[in-house]
Amino acid sequence: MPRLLHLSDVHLGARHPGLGASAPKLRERQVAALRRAIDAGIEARVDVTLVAGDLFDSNAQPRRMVEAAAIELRRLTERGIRVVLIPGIHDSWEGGSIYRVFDLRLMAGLSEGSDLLTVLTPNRTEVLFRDLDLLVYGRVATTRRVGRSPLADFTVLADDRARWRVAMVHGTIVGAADDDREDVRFTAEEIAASGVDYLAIGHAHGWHTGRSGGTVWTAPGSVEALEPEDEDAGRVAIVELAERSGRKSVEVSEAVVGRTRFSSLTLDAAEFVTPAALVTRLRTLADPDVVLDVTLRGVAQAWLDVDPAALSAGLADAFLAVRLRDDSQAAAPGATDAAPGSFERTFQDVLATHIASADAAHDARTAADARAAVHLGRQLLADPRQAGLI
Amino acid sequence: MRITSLHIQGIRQLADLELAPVAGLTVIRGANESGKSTIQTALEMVLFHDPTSIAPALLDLRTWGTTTDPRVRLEFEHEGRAGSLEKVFAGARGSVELSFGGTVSRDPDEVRAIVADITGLASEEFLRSTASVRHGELDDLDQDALRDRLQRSISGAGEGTQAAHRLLAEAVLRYRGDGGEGSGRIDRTRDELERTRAALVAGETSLAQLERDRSALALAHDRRADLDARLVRDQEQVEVSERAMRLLTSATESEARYMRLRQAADLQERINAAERSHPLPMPLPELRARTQRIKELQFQIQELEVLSELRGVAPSGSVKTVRPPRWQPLALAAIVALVAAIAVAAAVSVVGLLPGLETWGLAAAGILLLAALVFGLMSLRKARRVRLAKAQAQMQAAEIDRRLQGKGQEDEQLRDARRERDALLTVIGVPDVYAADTLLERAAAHNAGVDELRAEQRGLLAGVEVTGDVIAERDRAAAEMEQSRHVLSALGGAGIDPAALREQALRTLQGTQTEREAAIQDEGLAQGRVDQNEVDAEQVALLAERIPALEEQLAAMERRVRVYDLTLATLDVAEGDTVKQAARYLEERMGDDVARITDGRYRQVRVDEHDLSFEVWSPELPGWVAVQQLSEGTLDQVYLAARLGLVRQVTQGRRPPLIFDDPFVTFDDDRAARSAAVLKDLAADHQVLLLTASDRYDDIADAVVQLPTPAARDTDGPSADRLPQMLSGGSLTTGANGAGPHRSASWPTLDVTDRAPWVVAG
Repeated sequence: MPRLLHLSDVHLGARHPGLGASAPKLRERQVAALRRAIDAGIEARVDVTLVAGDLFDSNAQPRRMVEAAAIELRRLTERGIRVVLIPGIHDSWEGGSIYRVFDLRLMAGLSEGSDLLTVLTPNRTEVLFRDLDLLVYGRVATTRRVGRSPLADFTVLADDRARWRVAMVHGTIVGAADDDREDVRFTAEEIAASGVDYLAIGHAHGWHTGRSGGTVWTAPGSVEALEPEDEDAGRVAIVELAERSGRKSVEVSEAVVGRTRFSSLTLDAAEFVTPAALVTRLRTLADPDVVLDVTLRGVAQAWLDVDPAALSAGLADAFLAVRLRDDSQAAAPGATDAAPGSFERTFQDVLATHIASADAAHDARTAADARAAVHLGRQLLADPRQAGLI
Repeated sequence: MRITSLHIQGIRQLADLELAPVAGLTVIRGANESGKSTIQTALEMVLFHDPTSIAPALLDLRTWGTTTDPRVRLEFEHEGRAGSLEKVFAGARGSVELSFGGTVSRDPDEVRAIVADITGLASEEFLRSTASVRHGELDDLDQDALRDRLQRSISGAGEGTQAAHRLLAEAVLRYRGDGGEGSGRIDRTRDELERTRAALVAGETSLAQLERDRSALALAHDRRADLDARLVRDQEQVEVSERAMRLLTSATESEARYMRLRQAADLQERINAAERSHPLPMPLPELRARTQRIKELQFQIQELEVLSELRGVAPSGSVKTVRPPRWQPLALAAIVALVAAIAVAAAVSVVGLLPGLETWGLAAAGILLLAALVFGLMSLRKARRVRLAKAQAQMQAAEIDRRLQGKGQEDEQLRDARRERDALLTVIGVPDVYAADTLLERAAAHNAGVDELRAEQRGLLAGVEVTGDVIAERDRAAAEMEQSRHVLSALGGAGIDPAALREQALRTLQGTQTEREAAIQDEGLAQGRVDQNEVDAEQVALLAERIPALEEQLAAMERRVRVYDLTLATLDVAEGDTVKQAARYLEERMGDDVARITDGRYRQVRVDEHDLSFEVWSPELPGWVAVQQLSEGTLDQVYLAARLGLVRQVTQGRRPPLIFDDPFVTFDDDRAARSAAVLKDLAADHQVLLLTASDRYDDIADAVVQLPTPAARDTDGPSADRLPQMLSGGSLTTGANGAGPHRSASWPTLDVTDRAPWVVAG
């Protein structure tokens, strides 16, 4: 009975604008995750590997990226494992699709007539593996954004060319009340009507699986988490098509191949007087697989001028990346011991007036700057040479 | 705040000193190096120094030769409540304890805050700028430095403020630069951001172009693939048309062959019909042979009937005998002539008998030879005629013999002939010889017609391969023709006019080939454009990823500089405001003090709020005179008055103790006395500690404390190991005015040497 490896959304060459200097590391991790996904397939002795779209993040990827993917896929084909791919939304079939410009089959060292690697397209919608008694359909949209469901009017119930019928699609299962947010959409009813034994779905970045009618479907998600929302990412599906007591059985299990995690942490700025204290605190949470989003909230009791770049560089060995969002606000100038008319008192009074007028004008930035200036001025006056103050 | 007790241990030369200042003016008098300035330092330390500080300058205060940590204990009274403050300066082990208002605090920051609250002095700097006037502080500074110091004093800004100001200004300069292009970090970051943005735009443009180029390449590739397929189809169409042509030719040939075979088959059927309708029951040669036999038999019958008639009519002797001719004479004559010819020839040519007549001889021989030949031929002819005549004669003889043999035999022959003739006529089915002959003619004519048909058939089938039956061959040809027509009809239009189709297919093929060549060229050009576009999506991604970091960095810098600017500006504003307030306050309060000190010579003071220059109203001019134009002593007095005014201003309702370390040393006696009187007045509100080496203030003092004079002398030259002994000893005595206990003046007298670090403190 056929055994399948189902993966999707590798997004090779993806941009990670929020990661700055750590972005290339995540790109390398994506290639490594693809490698581990293929290792998982080889270990599970699968017969066919289904790549359900968005293997590449865009159609403008350089040749070396395509070659890198072909090298990994070749590890499967060298073992006689068939590979079937469909274009997704990012690497869609339209225009200069990467699958139209590059011949993955040739790049994987296969001959033109080989069925070891097949890219299903709007022009070639299926591939039949007679020895496996398996027919794979590709429901590929011609453009990124289609008005019609790729599963509309799709049914294989009358197709008896193979015992096992599997379909691949890149899109999102939506309900009837769904709005127009998703580019490629289809419904659970359409899945049920398709009549395929297994539907391999791509597009979602988290793990989802279920059954609609007689069809088992899985969206394994991206092989590596790419965004904070990718909570269940980093998985591939191992699908076993079997006969149990004369009835078809589709069993889906997951294999974890991704390592990157996105974590968020909210800290009270009041706990920290210096950026060094913040770094010390974050070091206690060190994990090189984690992209840590730190949010500073609350009221800072000191001039806490954290340079995000310096913070990220200082923790480069502790985390995959550290991103800081400073939503904290400097404390408003409070009661002072300084005598009225004294310099310090005047300094604070001037800034208090500044803050009040900024607040009245709803100029939050100026008010925040003035609050920060209060703390900076106080600290400078107390100890101008305080390390890291300026 | 009023100090009730001050206990100093282990600071410089004051190994252990305890004082009990009074509420008003306490004069602490002592000779040089008796520790007056150290008392002032100890007061500053206990009020504001961090006891855990490890600053070397603080540790250097330790009394020479001892390991005792400096310790200062202060007992005080504030608003009717007693308190104590004790600090031990031991670096990290240092400690502080403030007991006041029923609470005890050991937290340095908290203690500092409480002290500031009690005294109204925010910091040590503030104390030094206002309430603590050091020895020589006024007369050692030049005018500008003095003004600066005063300015800081007025503004409350000490070294910290100046350092803060300087650090902020430097930071702003670092970030903003000096105005030169790209000289500041912000400019450099902004430039980098702009460059990165521009590079990103260029990269994105190139990527978009790459996508377009790849799209064009894909289209060109698809078009070329389509044309490849079209070319194959066109070639197939040409082949179809050519096949159609061949089929058409074949069909035409099949039809022609069929037509000929059909005619031949028709002829064959006519032949067959003719053969079936043949008039004879036997083949024509047989009929002809039988007819011929019948005719021979008829002739024989007629002959026999004639003979029979003759035998019955004429005698047998009537047969004429023919005499045969003779041939032998002619043969003899030929031999003779031959011999003669031979003889003549021999005679002439061999023997030479007839000389001169050889020609004639030879001619004669020839004639003889010719004659021999003629006679020979004639003899042969006659001999044949003789043989014929003999044969005829023999036949006649035989006939005569036969006739003579008997009439019964002839009758028998006649009957046999008649019987045979009749039998043959019966077989043929005719009554007589004539009818047989007629029948034979008819049969011959019939056969001739059939032969004619066969000839016509052979003509039709000339060049047509026929194996076997013509009719079957015709049927096969018909089938072939039908098949060809069917195939042609299956070819549709191609079957109708394959030549035109071929022509059209060839034209289409040529067009497709041209288009394909153009498509291949387009594909090559598209591939070239793709190859030439060296944009790297990953590099563009790096740019895109760099921009947010740069934007964040730039925003952080700009925010930082905004805060720096604001802080800096606020420092300036605060300084300006403070100075402005102080200037007005000083103008109000300094006048009385200056008048008192100068004995009414100067009563009005004007303070410039910008440069803090002082002017006094000169009654001589009359007019305002800059204080720099006054004598140095007067100038000091003005600044003293200014500081006293400042104390009043900055402490407001609070009453910190005031400490003066010989501030009037440059004053003449009168002004010194008047200044002291001012202090005396000031002592009504503040506790005043006046440290002096002179006894001229004893009279106005509420208490006088006499410090012991160091008595030690270095009689043996420099010897460090003796220093502890020199610094120890001494006991406190009570001052003459009933002030607190003080050390007895039993201190060894100590020369001022450059080895003594405390000399700088006076």
